[in-house]
Amino acid sequence: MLYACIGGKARVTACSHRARRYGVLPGMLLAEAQALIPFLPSPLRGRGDGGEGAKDADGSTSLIPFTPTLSPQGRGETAAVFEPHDPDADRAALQKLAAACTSFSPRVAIDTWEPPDSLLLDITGCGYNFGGEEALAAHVLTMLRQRAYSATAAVANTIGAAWAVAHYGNAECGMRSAISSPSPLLSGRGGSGDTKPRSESSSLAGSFLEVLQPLPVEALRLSPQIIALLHNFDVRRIGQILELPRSQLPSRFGPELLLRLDQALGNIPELLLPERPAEIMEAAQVFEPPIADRQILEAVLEQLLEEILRRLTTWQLGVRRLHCALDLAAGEPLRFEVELLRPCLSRKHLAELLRLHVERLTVPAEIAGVALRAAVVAPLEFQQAQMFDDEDSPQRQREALALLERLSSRLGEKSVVRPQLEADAQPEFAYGYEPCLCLPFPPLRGRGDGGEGVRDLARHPHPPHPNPLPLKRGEREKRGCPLPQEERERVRTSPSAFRICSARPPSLLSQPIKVAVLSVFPGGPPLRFEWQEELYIVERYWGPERIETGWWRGDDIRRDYYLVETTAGERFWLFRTLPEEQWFLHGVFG
Amino acid sequence: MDHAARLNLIQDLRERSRQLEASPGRGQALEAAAPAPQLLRQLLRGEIERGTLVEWLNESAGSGGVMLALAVAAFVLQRGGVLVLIDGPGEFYPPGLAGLGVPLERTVIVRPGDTLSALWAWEQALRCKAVAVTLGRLERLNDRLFHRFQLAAETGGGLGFLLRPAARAGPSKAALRLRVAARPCQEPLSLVRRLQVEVLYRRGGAAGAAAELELGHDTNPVRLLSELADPAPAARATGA
Repeated sequence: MLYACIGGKARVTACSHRARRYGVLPGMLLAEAQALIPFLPSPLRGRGDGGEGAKDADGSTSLIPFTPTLSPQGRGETAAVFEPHDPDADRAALQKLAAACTSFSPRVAIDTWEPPDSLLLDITGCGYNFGGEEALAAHVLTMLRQRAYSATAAVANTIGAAWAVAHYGNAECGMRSAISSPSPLLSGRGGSGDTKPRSESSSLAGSFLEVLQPLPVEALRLSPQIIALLHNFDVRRIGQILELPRSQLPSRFGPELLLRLDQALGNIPELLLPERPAEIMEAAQVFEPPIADRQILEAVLEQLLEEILRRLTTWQLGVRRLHCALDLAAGEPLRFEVELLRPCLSRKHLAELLRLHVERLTVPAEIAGVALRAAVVAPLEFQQAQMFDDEDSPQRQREALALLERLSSRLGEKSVVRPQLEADAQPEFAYGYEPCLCLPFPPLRGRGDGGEGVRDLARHPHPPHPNPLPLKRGEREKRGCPLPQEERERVRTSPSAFRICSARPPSLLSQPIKVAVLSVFPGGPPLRFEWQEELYIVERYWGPERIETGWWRGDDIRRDYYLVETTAGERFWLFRTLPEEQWFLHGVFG
Repeated sequence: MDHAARLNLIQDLRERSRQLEASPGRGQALEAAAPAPQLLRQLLRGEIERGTLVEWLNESAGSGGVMLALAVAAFVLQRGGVLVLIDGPGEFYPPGLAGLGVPLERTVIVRPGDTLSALWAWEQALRCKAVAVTLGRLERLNDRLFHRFQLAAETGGGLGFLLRPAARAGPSKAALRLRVAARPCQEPLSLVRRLQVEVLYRRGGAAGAAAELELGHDTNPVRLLSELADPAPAARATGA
């Protein structure tokens, strides 16, 4: 049995036929399922505890139902295996099956419905070799059975209709395939649907409407919200939908319903995105004798790159990550990776990135061989549409990405970063950096509007401070710069109040520097201080801004920050630690 | 050639030289200019020419030159583009940058490990058409590198903001050289800062102009207070 955390509770997501005999059903709480299984030795058992049973057509090789000795009476050894559901493993298994199905059709796709549990085969013109389309479907089912999968297949003129019949049809409902149009064959999931027959190919007869009308509305691949809405109107069959006025469907149920209906009926086309076989894009060269010249290495790398790119061009794929390994005549091989922000097929750009990486390398011995592999590839068109959505400056966007890749290649990934604000009151932790190669780059459009400061702060608010201006009125009056209540209110309510209240220096010292400060009285504001052998007389100050935080980091921070302006107008950011009463310079308003 | 004719010739050559320097044909002044806040427009008698290097000389630590450069960069970035901060020592503080209006999502901080890498990063950033402003400290730059940077900036069409302490500023080939000094704030209740900006050199004229401005105003981050001097022929020793 497979389980997953759904809505905060562990629930069964798939189970074997044998488990169903005990009343276990998908969606059931895991605890209930465990209670239904008698003589359960352990609630969660490892994979090795049980024998491998039949796999589902969804490709969940991790589904290991029971040992063959399990019996409803509970006699003999019982061993149930519960494992967390792994959608990635499902997809990987489906991809393997898709590769296997290419012997039946050149165009095999994985269902786009989430979670995917079906394979779609375009069998236009393929039936001839197998004695017809029904025979072809039977061959597919046989192949799946041989691999210990249970499955359902349906042949239809549209993906929607084939999916509907495979998931919700039965042996009696049929559909004739039109040879002239794409005829997807659908291999449906066999693990969860308990009403559909197993290892059966729905016969093909009748029209679309006849076949689809009795099927439940769920067969149209609708979202749960639409299905719930249809149920509220007591619309449970596709035939009932067809009886409703077509023009009113979008306004009543949204555009999705009409789209799915039209896709199933073939009124509008639906794209089938074939799976491509995973090809290892790798090229290597052995040096005999080993070389020490970097120029030769760079030239060879360029050749290998060209070879890989030639293969990728066929598939219209671009490189996202290049993996390079240098075999040394002595010692461990050297490895490095070239990361890109968008798929790239440009030989010139990739060669430059490789060269920048090689420049940084310290090669301790002669190079005996080099291997280059496109570790991650991605479709060019898809990524381009995602990355260059800024209509105004696609070229500039590309240039920015290329710059980041070049800088990261030469200086290292961690040396080219984007700043981010963090919600932390302690100034040292109020920000962070993320390598540019790890983040999608935003459009480069400007705002073109006026008061940018306020808007920027709205986008990047400073971490909220509990007490932005905790003023000691008495102290301020003594210093001759009182901040009356109305002014404090004005500051707090003005558009840029947030900025003023949380003024931070543009330059922060990596480590606060201890400075000698003279105060009027102990615990009072600074009067003058010394830094870099210069004496600064404080003309006015703002503060103290009390920051008490960091106890959970094991370092209790208590500081009183002062923004001070000297007689010459220079501004600095000082703080006094409490209770030690030591002064530090932390920032410069340079 | 008599003395008067010689003076005329010199005057004529000066005028032609000034016209050549001010001609928009240099570099990528294509979209005319980068937007500058009102203060700089008045001070410079126009916008900052695209594809140029601007040198900000900070009178002393804490004088506000870095803040002003960042505020102007934020202003330029309103029209889009990327801000590249070449920050070897890691001094720039993101909350402070955000407070000056710098869009952090379009800011890239580059931390080169050594001087050579820093110079390479400068040139790469200046050459990139997507970068609106490249900003960082550069205390030493010889003529050859200045020329390379200038060519790179002209190729990219962005601005290069070089931050240098005024005390250690040597000769410069920057198209615009500004000295920033802090002035005591006249409004004790406000956090707004008062700065004095002096145009030490500007290609094509306007050198010698000076003005006081406020930084961090509610509605306009940079506001001109008063002009202190009219632009005069560059007679001061700028070293440029």
